[in-house]
Amino acid sequence: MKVSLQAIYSIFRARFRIYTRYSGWLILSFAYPIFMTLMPIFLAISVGGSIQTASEAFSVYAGTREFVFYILVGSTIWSISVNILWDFGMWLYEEMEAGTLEQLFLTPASVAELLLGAVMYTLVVSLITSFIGLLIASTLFGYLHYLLSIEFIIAIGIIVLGFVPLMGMAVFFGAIVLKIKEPWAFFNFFTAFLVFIAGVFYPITILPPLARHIAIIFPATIQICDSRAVLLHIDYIFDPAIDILILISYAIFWPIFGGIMFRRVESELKLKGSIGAH
Amino acid sequence: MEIRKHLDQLKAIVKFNLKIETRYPISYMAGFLNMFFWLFSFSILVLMFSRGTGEEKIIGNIIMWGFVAYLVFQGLLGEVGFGLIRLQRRGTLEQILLTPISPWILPLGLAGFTIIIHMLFVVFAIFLFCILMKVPIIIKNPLGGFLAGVLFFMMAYGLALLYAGWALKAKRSGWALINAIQIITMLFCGVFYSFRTAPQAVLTISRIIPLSYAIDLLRTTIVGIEPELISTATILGIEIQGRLLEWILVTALSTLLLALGYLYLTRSIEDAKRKGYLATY
Repeated sequence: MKVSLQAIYSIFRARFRIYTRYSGWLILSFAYPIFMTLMPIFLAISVGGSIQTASEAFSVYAGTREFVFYILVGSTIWSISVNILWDFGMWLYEEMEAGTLEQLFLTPASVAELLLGAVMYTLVVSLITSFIGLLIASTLFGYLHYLLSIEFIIAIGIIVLGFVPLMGMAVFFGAIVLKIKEPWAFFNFFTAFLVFIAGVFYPITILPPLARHIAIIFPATIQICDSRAVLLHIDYIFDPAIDILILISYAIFWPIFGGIMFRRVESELKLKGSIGAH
Repeated sequence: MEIRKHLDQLKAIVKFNLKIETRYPISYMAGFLNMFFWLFSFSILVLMFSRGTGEEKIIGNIIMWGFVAYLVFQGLLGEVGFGLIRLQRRGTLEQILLTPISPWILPLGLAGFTIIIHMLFVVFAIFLFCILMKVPIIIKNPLGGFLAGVLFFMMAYGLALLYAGWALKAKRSGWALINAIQIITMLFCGVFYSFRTAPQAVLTISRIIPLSYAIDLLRTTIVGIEPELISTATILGIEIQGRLLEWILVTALSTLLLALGYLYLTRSIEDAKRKGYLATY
């Protein structure tokens, strides 16, 4: 047990050290949710004429006039989700490109330890940077009171619960990276698709019925909608209990499915001798 | 004779890159889908906030041409600026720069390739704007728009050269800078909004960035409206129209940035050759 924890910690520390070498990355991580919020706000003001008219128009669809905070919550959760989903796969890709992936898999550390160390790093870094970003943005836009409420703690609970299926999905995407070798195209497509389907900028009730059904497949949709519902006292996707049950079922399914798929791809590639090839 | 030789070399670089790119059709499909979903999400916002006053046509065109300019800029930054870093990472940059071609040929060839590839994205983006956001295309001054487009290209290319020169030294840190440049451009250069409705604080920053003026000149010339960033001013007792002032400013800035970019990149390459880090990453 102690050896396992040491291995997990070593992976975590190695990745964290590389990350802290580049201060530019750190600054960008804080800035990203703010940037993602400002972009649609500028568009809204341009089309709506002013922030007041934009807020009024938005309240008709979303049930709240606080459209800046609404988008801020969406973009913060979206950026955490995208980070968690892709960071593990991108780490494998970088190791593959540098030619060190096979060596990594040949160390006495098990695949599960490697996975946990890498995913823990992503989780800790994404969570800290995104919440600092959210804090800065909320202070700038005057929404700090939302972060100092009981509702915010409940919202964090929902977001954290959603991390479990996301980590499982991250392992599944890691398997895809090992298999297809060049994941950028898929990554770019999926990032944009998640913005559209998970209702990062707008409520998913605006989407056509089929798109709404697809949206619920993604844990990020539930995280975004329900966190907003708690914070802004607006509608949940179905009902708080049902939404949490769906999230729990995803939290059971995705880690098992991701783990199985990763094992399968890993054994297949080891057999072919192409695990380290790029 | 010399010109023909240069043109052949340019053609070879463009052709080589195009050949490589055509090997990855899925990557392009993903690129188109990526743009589709971003624009689809924004079009939902546009429909939500639309007031139906008729002014949306102009604003829609302003945003559309702003987005087109951004596509070209980020293409140049990615392929010219980051393209040299990619070659450095792969270890082929030194070999390429040791061939007897002039130092300006490689980046210009990459720029030519980018323009060809990104024209497809530009056409697709305009199509999406027309279909999804119901924006009718307004082109009131095609010749002026073309000239403004040339100036915009010069400025964007100059900035890409400056970035490439710096990133050759900075290596991995350059990744963060390229993202930061893209974010700053999107936020402050009017990519998704009209400068007319932008908050004063944003406009103050926009006015410091040369690219804002090039984007403003490009789109207001095409759409046929007065510039949004510069108004009529009196300089040394002479009243100069905002439009003329913006043409003069953008021409001067484009020429200056292009020259600076070229000089800085050449200097960086020479420095890298001398210190021996051209092939190390």
